[in-house]
Amino acid sequence: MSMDKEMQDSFAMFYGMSQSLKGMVEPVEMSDDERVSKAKQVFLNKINRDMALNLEACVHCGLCAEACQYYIASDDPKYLPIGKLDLMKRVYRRELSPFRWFHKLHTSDITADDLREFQPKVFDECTMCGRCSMLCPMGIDIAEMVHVSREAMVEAGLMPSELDYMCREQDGEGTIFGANEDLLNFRLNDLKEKHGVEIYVDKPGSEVMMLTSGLDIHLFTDALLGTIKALDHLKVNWTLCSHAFEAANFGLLAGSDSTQKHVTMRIVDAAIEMGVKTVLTPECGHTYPAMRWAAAEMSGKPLPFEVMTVSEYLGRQIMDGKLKLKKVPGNKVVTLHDPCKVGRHGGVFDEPRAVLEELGLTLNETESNREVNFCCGGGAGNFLVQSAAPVRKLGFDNKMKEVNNTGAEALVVSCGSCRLNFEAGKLNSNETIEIDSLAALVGENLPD
Amino acid sequence: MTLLDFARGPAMQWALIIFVAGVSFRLIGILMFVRKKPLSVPRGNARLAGYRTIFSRAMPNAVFRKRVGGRYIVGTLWHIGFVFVLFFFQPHIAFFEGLLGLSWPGVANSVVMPVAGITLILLVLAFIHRLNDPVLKVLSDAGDFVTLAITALPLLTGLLASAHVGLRYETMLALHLLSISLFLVWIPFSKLMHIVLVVPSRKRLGAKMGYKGVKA
Repeated sequence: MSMDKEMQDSFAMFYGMSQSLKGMVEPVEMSDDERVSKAKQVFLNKINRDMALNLEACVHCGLCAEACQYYIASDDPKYLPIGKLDLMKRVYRRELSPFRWFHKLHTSDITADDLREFQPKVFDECTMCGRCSMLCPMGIDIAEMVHVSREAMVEAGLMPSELDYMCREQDGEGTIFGANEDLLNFRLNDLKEKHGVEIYVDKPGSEVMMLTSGLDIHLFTDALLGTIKALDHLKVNWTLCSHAFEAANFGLLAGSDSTQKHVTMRIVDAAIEMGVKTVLTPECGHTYPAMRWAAAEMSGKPLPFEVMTVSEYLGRQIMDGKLKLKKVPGNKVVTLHDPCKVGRHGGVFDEPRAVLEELGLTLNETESNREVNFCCGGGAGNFLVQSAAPVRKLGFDNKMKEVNNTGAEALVVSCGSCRLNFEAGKLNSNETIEIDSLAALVGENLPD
Repeated sequence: MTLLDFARGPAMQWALIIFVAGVSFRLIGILMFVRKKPLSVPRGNARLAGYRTIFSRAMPNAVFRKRVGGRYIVGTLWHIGFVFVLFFFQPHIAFFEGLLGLSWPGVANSVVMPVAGITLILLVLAFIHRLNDPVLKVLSDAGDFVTLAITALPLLTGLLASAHVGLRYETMLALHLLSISLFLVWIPFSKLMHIVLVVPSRKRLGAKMGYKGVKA
């Protein structure tokens, strides 16, 4: 299903809004010494045993470049993944490594100019997709350390202004793109009126707490509707929480520890307060690792509820024989995008494929799929960052080469920001492939 | 004391001491860092996945083979050649027997010598590749070239000594032993430490990904 007129209009408005965040917040004023000191403090605090092992283990083989979407698309060595860790490595070698006395003799200290030079390397030029780690012969987890490098930039006041704006909005209003409780209620009532679905907000005794996202409230309403319809069809006892419905976590994307914790704990506290058994994250890729893996760490204890993303939840229902779907007519051929944060960083591979099979769709896999899938090109918040536009295009074109080779009529995706990036990529290219939401497909094909 | 006596005696002994102490110090230094036990619910068996990745990472995932297959093959052949010459050349076995009291069957010189020659050629190819590849030009530092040279020396001197080429045999043998000492001393201070770190590093990635139900 391609975008209808209403969604096209919403897309034009939303895309325009999302691309005009630059400069909405003032740059952070800080002395150079303070920037260096704060960045170093992050490295010193965050480097753990795994990272130390990784930083010691690199053999300078350069193979990680051969897995990087941006290097593959450009042959430009500046995208070399391990090169993005240079500052972190220098701080480690000088301050923390077992032979620091030796390394101090030949390793220069980092400077504020180094930080400014590396800012685009760890933001614009890396989506922390983690594909490089799937090739590294030494098993180095580069994405994890790029995330710490982003944290260092954040503390040094060098976060891209678009992401800074998003973090400040999440810290202050608890929303993204202004999608507050009023707008949520408007959207829910709209869906109720047009589609006759039952909506539950703050319903006591619910078993499943569903999250949504500003992206779905503003734009991808079909994904929100599909999830609601499926839950209603399955007679799940579900609810949204009026003060903890926003799933997006720009703290995790941007590397702001405090925002990540703030956003995470609002959801965790609400879920505990409501006594739900399951928190269901929407088609919002990075929400999954934020809640599925990092939330327990942020809480300091195991979570008293399980976390599932919608593609995982619906796929499990099908695999367990609890959900049957109508077959999509016409032997439609599709391909599937495994969002990095849900797939390679989440382990959700079989469930979305079970959904496609149940829908009677023919799945032609891209050459790189599952744990070695290519990023959409604009992950980790880069879809909002203006200066990242050229590399986003590189990533999009690289991804579309594989997509087009499948001969598929549609690309199915279960991540809103990937979907947005694909739709936006189409605007600047000759690509016309239909982009479908997995949850929307389920919602449209529920048995009567 | 002749040069050969020095190479066989104090040089080798000190090299072994520095090697063992240095490797231990670097390893313990890494182990001193904290690693928290994850609090989330695992999706897969991290331990098993970790062990799997130690071996599976010896070959790249099929999707990467077009881009890196050649380099992986050269790298693998080089490592096999190096280990083969190190452990199956008769005089090396005699050396290990003297050191550890253990011995095993060796392989004829007519096999070991060509393997050593090919291994050295592969190392030269790696050197040329590092000088010319655009990515490696950006990535390489002096340590990479020093390491290549220090790794090549035992092979080169060993071949020359065995073939009785160059200086008199005793001198070449002494130079060969000294180059091995240099190699041993360089391990803890350089990327040659990967000889030791490859196992825990791969295992940790495999375990972290396996925890999430992902094969690494």
